[in-house]
Order: sequence, then structure tokens, then C-alpha cells
Amino acid sequence: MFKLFRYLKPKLWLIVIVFLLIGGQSYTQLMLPDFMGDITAIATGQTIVADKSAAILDVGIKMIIVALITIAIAFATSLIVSYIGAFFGKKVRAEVFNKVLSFSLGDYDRIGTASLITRTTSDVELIQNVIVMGLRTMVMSPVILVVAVVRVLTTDARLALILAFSIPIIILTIIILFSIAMPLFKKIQEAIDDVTKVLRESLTGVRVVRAFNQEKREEKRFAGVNSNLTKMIIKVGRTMSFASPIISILFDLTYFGIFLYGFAMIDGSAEMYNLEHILETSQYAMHIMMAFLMFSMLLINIPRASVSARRINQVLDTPVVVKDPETPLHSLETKIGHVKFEDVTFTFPDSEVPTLQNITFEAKPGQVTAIIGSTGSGKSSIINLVPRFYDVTKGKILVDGVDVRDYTQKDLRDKIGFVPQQALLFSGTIRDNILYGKTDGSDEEIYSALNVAQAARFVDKKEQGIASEVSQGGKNFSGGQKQRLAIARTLVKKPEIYIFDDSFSALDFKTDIRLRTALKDYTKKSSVIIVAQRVSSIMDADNIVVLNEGKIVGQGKHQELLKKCKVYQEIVFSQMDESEIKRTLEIKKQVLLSEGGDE
Amino acid sequence: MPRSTDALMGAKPKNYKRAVGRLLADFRPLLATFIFVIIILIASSTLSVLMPVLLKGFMESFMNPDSGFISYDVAAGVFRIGWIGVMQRFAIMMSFYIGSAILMWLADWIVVKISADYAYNMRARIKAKLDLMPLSYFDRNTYGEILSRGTNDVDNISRHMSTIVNQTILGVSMFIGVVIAMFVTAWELALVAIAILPFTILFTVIIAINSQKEFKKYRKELGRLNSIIEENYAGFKVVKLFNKESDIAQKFDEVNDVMMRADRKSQWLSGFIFPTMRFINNLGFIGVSVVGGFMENVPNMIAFFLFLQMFQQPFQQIGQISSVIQSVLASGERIYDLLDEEQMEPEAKDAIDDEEQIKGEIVFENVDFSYTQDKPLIQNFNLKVNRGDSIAIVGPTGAGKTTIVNLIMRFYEVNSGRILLDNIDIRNYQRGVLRGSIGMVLQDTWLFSGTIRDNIRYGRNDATDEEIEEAAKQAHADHFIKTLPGAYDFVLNEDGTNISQGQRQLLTIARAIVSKPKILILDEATSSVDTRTEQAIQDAMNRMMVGRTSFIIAHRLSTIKNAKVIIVMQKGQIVEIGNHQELLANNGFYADLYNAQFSGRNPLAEPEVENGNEIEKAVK
Repeated sequence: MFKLFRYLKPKLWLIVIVFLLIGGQSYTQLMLPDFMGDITAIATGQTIVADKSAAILDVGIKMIIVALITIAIAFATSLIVSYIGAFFGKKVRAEVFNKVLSFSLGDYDRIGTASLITRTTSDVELIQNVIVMGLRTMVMSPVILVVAVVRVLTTDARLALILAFSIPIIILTIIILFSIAMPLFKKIQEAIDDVTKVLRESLTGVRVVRAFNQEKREEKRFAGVNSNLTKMIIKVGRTMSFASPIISILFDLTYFGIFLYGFAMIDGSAEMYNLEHILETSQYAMHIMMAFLMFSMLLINIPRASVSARRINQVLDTPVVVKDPETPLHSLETKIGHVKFEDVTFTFPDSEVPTLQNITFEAKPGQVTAIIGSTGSGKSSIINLVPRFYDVTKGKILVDGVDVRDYTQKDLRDKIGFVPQQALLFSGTIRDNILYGKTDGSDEEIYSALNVAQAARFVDKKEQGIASEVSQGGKNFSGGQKQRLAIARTLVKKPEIYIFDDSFSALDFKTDIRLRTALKDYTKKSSVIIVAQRVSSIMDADNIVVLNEGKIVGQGKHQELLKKCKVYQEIVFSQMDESEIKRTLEIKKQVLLSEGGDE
Repeated sequence: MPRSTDALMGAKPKNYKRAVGRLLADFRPLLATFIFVIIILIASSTLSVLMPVLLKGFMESFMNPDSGFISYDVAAGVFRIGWIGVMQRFAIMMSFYIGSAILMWLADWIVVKISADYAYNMRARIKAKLDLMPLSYFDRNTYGEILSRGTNDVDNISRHMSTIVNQTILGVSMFIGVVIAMFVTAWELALVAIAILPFTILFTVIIAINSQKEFKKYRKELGRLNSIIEENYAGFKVVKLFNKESDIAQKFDEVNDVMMRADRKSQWLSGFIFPTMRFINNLGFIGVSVVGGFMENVPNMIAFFLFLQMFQQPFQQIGQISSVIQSVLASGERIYDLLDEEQMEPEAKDAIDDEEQIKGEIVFENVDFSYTQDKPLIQNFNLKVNRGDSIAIVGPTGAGKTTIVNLIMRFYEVNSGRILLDNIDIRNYQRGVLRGSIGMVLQDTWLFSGTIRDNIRYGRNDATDEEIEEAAKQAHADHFIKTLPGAYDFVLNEDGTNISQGQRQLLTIARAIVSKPKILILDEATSSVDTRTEQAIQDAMNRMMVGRTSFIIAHRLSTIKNAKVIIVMQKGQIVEIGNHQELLANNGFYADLYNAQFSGRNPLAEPEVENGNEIEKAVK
């Protein structure tokens, strides 16, 4: 947790000031019992003055001044402390956010979106609160302790003995209660987790539960975890309930102890003891014990904060896996779009078995290269390697003759237009979304892209056209519409390399054909890589790469593969039979002919 | 004062009165206990308030030579303390204080139990209520929302209950007690102490109001920041692909800055409450010191210093209490919203409760149904299904295929018309009996965390181990189960991720087999499965269908071709009914779908990529 304190370094000077201020504040606060003692002395006649009332008033005014100084210091302290806290929050949030954006895909998946969001916001807030609390208490307690003890010693060292006795006992009590409570709190969390788990299961499976008439069983299960949790809570609550009375009684014993001790000093002494010493010391004692209480409250919050700190540090300490090269090559002049895989092997970071082995193929500009294979064959992994979402384990990938690792990630990704499987839109207008990658694009470019993506019609139907709102996650559009907008977004960029990760799956067949036809024209200079499940989407590709269990088992055009590649045959026949294949080609011709005249 | 990171803090209840009314009503049975607790707490504060009074009395006597506490031994020239008397007095005072502490502890002890029991009952009530909720409720609300009410909201109320009870009662009775005791002890000083009261209240209110304002601003900015974070984390891939990292970082910084300012303001205001309270209290101490000094009565001063300490406590807690109360009321509101929801129709009188006789003949008679008023789904639907027939339901995703399933299972009630099972309206069967006669295998492979055996047994509680194994064999699951450590005793984890998706599907099939259904409902969609498992699933399903009335949400043309009746759905409407030949001849939507096969798309697997859900992979 202390690792995170490095973000406070720039404000170190402020922290020092705060410490000084709080120290001063504690000091002035402790002057009051002193004054109270003075007044007592005057009143009892211990201190002889000419005019008692005037003298008392005099002290009173001094006290008011001291109290005003105390609150003025507190005012300044609070301003600075709140600034430091807010600064810390802002800084760490930004650090975490930027770090996450620099994550590789693997890092991201490891922790997960939800957890990352929590770590960026509420974990930071928790630590911020503890720091603020800490700044206030951490200094106050020791200062109060030191000053009070000094004052007690100067008032009457003998009374200090009582404190020397009772304070360790109080500390010990707090420690004991603390160490009993902590494991119990953990158990409560686990019990809460159990309740949540069971409740959630019965919610997500409500249809199944009802379909199989298992309501009673679920009820019993729930009752079990419910009563377990309740028992835990009672146990912990009751254990903790001892804390308060024990500490109270200790306080009180100390208080009375001081009195009795004072009496003991009178006993057998020729002089009457100064009562105001008793008064003052008892006040100091109160302050000291309060300080300890505050300190222990701070300690209680630390374990929770250090859990948060660990989570945040896990993010910040993640090593950067995909790095930009020290001397990047700029091949921006050669805008061809040639992609070449040279004997690429790829293993996921936490895995032992390679996902891809000895992958070698080329995607040439002006051509459509298709990658097909069953689930788990490694299709997505191949294309994830091109924009360097992951780096290869062995072999290399060349774009326009240059190893992808020799480009800056920015330059590399500028060359690539990648449409992921799931269309992700952002909140804003349609125009904002389409121009996402090219903020200086013109409306003509937008319409041109929308036309190719077969999205122009539904966009025009909307009242505000391209100025229409897109809600978060694109929820106000259907799956197919989202997909087409995502495609248009990539088209506007006009990259040299297009990669479509099963991106036509959400479209009905007519739209699919129209789109791919229009696409062919729009992308004729670039190289196009399509990943697909369905044979019929890619049957007319210039080069089909057949994947099975991470290896290429065939490459070539449809007819060749149908004759020679066993896996390809299996895939094709699992999706269509002989006559249907023939029919496909026939019908496709027909559709293209009839659609040719259409928009 | 640290702000709570609890998302519930700062939540404002919309209708105070209702929440308060219901909460109080819930606690009425505990009224006696509460009264007992109140009495204890009042007794406790009385005792603690009396202590300074006694102390003052003692100190005054102490000064008086006649009291015997202190005497002067002329011979030795020293003072002597009458220890017995002193100790007696101190013992009494100590016992008052200890008594007060014990009583408070007792109150705490009781309240811990009450609030835990309250939480237990509330959770049980919510669970029971959820069991009676129609499925439409679960469609309308996210699981997270519902879950939160059962866990976070209940927890919130019970956790804060002891705080509210103890501190309110204690605060009030302490306050009253202290005021009374002060006046009894020394009315002049009491007046001085009271004089600071209006200031205390005034400043508490001012600071609390202003800090609330800033706090609200802070939470609003936090919300803005959160959505930037959420959107860009979720769209992580796209951000990278379009090189938007620096743009986004800039946008983030802007909002982060604004948030910091609101953060700072609200922090410093709330952090200022404590020093302000202390200042005002200091003024009290000063006043008492000065006036006490004038009165030259030290015992009074001693007593009043203790009084003032007790006096300031209630006010320190006020700031916390108000936000706690608001949060508790907000939670209460959410819980009562849930408890007040409309339930399913109760079971019919004399509902049939015997499953054995069911044959499996289903008739839809003039059925009208829609999920929402304005979108009519099924209108005047008629269908007769004989025992053993298989009905295929086809259509693009989102067409409403599961609606038929939902109606047969009586997960939803028809708007008009009726559905007959063996010539009797399904509403005249007990739901349990109706559903018990139907075996369901859905795309959603829900399994719970438990052993495989228990999961399969879920289909029928009295299934023997042999029956379970037999069902697993028929489902082609027995083989892989035996390869797992512990075989049938292998424990599935939450979300069942320690076996593959395909294996889960096989287990759900085994579960359905074990339930010995008369009627089958199957969803053929198999996603993310390898071909071998796919074939196993298909085979198991085919086996299951033999001799049983089956409703199949079909994804394979082979299934459809052999179905007795095909129901074709599109956009939530039934557009065509007939068998394969009839529909082809019709040359309508079905014919379109069938022919579409050959142009490269299986429209039967037309997925809707909604909210990042998996794309259905077509299987033939």
C-alpha cells in the first residue's frame, strides 16, 4: 500500500505543512486544560491575585484566543488535507486509466472489465479516504500523546504513573479485540458471498428451477446460507460489543485513579495538594485516551485499504508486453497492404500448448484472403496477431515487408481496418461514431462508407440522419445495424489492410451479398482478410486458408480444396450436401444478376 | 469525516413516509424488545449522567472538614485521608459507571440479535416473494438489481439499525439527562452550557447542507467519469484499433479535473464539522471555567467538565445519523417495491396433482398472447398436437420461438384462449405437475455448484443412482463423466466453468431424461461445441424424442424435414404453419429461408448481436 504513496511525492511539502499545522493544533488544544487549571488555582486561592474576577476573565480571554487559533489552524488544515486527498485521487485514477488503456488483450482479459472499473474508481476512493483520515489522525495522536505526557509530567510526575499503567492496558485491549475481530470479519464476507452466490444461481436459473419444480430445494439451500450468515453476524456483533464497555471502564478507572492517587499524596503530607493538578491531569488523560481511540479507528480501516491498494498495484505493476520498438521503422510511404505470415507459432501467455503452429500464408493487396476453420481452430488468434494485440512466440509477421514489431503500434494500426466480431459503438452521434478514426472526415466520406456498408437506408430513415444519437453501447440499434455502422466506421479510414472477423454474421443473406459486392469495389486496392465459419461466405475468395487445431491444413481456391483438403471437405459437407453446393453457386449467380441493377 | 464508498450512501428515498411506515410496521412484533432496549438505554444514560453529580457532591464534602474524608493530624503535622469513606464513595460512583457501561453493552447485545434476525427474515421474505414472481419480472429487471435488494439493501438496514437505535435513543436520553443534571447541579453553569446549543445546531445544519450539495456534485462527476471509464474499457479493442488512446486520455483528464474540484470542496466541508464542533464545545468549556471560577466552586467545574463531554456526543453523531437514516430509508423503499410487486396467479382450486396419467396431447385453442400491450405476438393461434408428434418451431433469432415454450410451461399466462393438456386447461393442473411432465433442454445450460450426480438428480429428486447413470449413458455423458476425478461426485463450480460448454449441454440432456417427461421441449442451438460433441448432442436429442410429444426449436433442416408440423415465426409473429412439403409449395417465407441456405447463409441461425451476446453458430 505504501507503494502508492509515491504519487504524493509532488505534494510532500504540503504534507509537511499539514503535519506542522496539526501538531500546532494539538498543542494549542492542549493548552486549554492548562488554563482551566490556572482558573482553578485562582478560584481556590492557590494563586493569589488582587482581583480574582479580573484575573479569571483574563485567563478566559486567553482561552478564547487559543480556541480561535485552534479552529483557524483546523480550517487551514482541512483545506490542505482535502486538497491532498483529492489530488491523490485524481492522480491515481489517471494513472490506472492510462495503464489499462496500454494493456495488451491478454492482460485485459485476465482481470476483466468489471474489476478494472472498480479498481479505477471505488478502490481509489477507499484509499483516498484512508489517507485523509490518516493525515489527520496520524499526526494528531502522537503529538497529543507527547504533549499531554510532557504536561502531565511537568504538572506532577507522580500522576503520570497512573497513565503509564492504564495506557498499555488500553492498547493491549484494542490489539486483542482487533486480532479477534479481523478473522471474523473475513468469515462474514465469505458468508455474504455464499448468500449472494445461492441467490444469484436461483435467479439466473429461474426457468430451470421452475421447470424442474425445485423451488423447495432452492428454498432450503437459501435458508441454509441465510442462517449461516445470520449466525456469523451475531457472533461478530456480540464479540465486538465487548469493546465499548471495556474501554469505557478502563477510561473511567484511569480517571478515578488519578483522583485517588492525588488523595494518596495528601495522605501523610504536610501540605494540601493542589486540586487543580488533579483536574488538569484528568483532562490530559481524557485527551490521551481519545487520541488512542482515533488511532485505533484508523488502524481498523487499514486492512480494507490495503486490499484495494493491492488490486490497484496489480494493475499498475503489469509489465507492458506489447511495446513499441526503440527505433521504429516508418514505412508509411509504402502503402500497399501486403501481409505475410512467416512460420508463425503463437502460445497464449498462461498456456503451455501453442494455439497456432507454423502458420505461413500471404494476403496480397487487391485480393480476398479467407481463413476458415471450426471453433477453437485458432482463426481469431491469427488475426489478433496482425495489429499486435498479441505478439508471436516464434516466427514473424510482415506488413509491407516490415516486421510488425518494427512499427510503432500507432503506425501499424493506422494501416489496418479491423472489424471485430462484436460491433462496439460509443455514445455520441452517428457522425461521431463513423468519424471515430478520422475526425477530419467529410460528410461525403461518411455517406460513401454508409452506402457500401448498406447502412445508408436506415440512417436516412432517422429524423436527424447522421446527427442521430447513439446511446451507450449502441443499444438503440439492432445487432445488424450496429454491425453495419461498425463496418462503415472502418471503411472511412480507407486502410491498406481490411480484416473482418466474422463481421457479416449478423446480416441477412441479401444484405450480405450486396455488402460484399460493394465492398469488393471499395477495397479493390487493399488486401482483405475475412475470417468465417460458413463456407458459403468465402467460397469465392482468392485464397482460402483452412485451419485445424492451430495448423494450416490447406490453402488455395475453393475447387482445389474441395478436391484435395480433407478438413475442408468435412467442413463443407457438414454445412451442405453435394446438390446444395451446386445449387449455391447457381443461385448466387442468379441473385447477383438480379441485384446488379438494384441500389 | 470520510465519505462512504458505499453506493447506497447519498441515495435519496423518494417517498419518506411509505418507507418509514413499512419499516416501523415490520418492527412492530419486536415492539416489546425495543421498549426494553429503550428502557435499558435510558437507565444507562441516567447512571452515567449521575456520576458527575455524585462526584461533585463528593468533592464538596471533601472540602468540608466535618465530612471525615480528610482530617488534620495535629500531632504529626500531616493530613490524613479517611480511606474507608473515600473508597466507599468511589466504589459507589464506579459502580454507577460500570452499571451504565454494562447496561449499554446489554442493549448492544440485544440489538445485534434483533437486527440480525430482521435481516434473516427479510432475506427469507424476499426469496419467497421471488419464487412467486412471474417470469416477466425477471425479464424487466436485471439480476444485479434484484440481487442487490436481497443482499446489499437488507445488509444496509440491519447494519445500521444498531447505530440508529442506540445512538438516537442514547443521544436523546443523554441529552435530556445531562441538561437536567446540569440544572440540578448548578443552574448558572447550566445556562452557560446551554447557551452554546443554538450555535451548535446552526453550524451543524449549515455545514451539513453545504457539504451535501458538494457531495452530490462529486457523485455526479463520479458518474460521468465512470461512464467514460466503462465505455472505453468495454470498447478497449476499438480504442486501440483506431489509435484513440490519447484522445480518450484527454477527455478523461478534463472530467477528472472537474471531479477533483468537487471532491476537494466536499471533503473539506465535511472534514470541517469535527473542528467546528470542538470549537463550540471549547467555548462551552471556557464559559464554564470562567463562570465556575467566578463562583469559586471547583467541584462544580469538575462535574461540568464531565457534563460537557457528555453533552457534545449527540451532536457529533447527528451528521452521520442523517445520512445513515436516508440511506436506510432508500434501501427500505427498494425492498418494499419488490415485496409489493404483483405475483403470479395462485394455483386453481382442485388443481390436478397427479402426474402419472398425463399422456401428452396438447391443444392450443384461440390463443392470444403478447409480452407487452402494444406488440401483439400470437393472435388466434390454433394447433392440435397428438401424443408422440414432433413440432418444429423455426425462425430467425428474436422471432419469438421461446414464446410457445413459455406458454406451454405456463411461465406466462395467455391473454385469451386456452391451452389444453389431455383435454384439460393447463391452468387446472398444479404448476409443479404440469412442469414435471415436461422435460426441457434449453440453450442456456444452467447447472448449479454441486456434484454432477446432484445436478442430474435435479430432474427428479427420487431418481436412483442407477437411473442417473442410465440417463447419463443415453445422453452420451457417461463417458466423459467417468474421465473426471470423482466421476459422478465431481463438483461443478459456480457458473459451471470447470467442464466445457458441450459437456454442460450433455448434462442438461441427462437431467431432462431422468425427469421421465411425457412432453419434450428442446432447443437445438448448440454454440461453441466441437463436431464430435455436436453429433453426440444431436444423437441424444433424437433418442429422447422417440415416442414423446416434442416441441423443437429447430436449427437443423433434417429435424425440420421430418417434423409433423412446422411453425414458422418471424419478428414475433407466426407467419406460416404446415409440414415441409406444404410450406415449400407455399413459396413464402419458409421457402425463402430454405432456399437461402444455398446462398451462403443459414437464416435459421441469424443471430442478433445484442449487448455482446454470443453469436449463434449454425449447425446443420
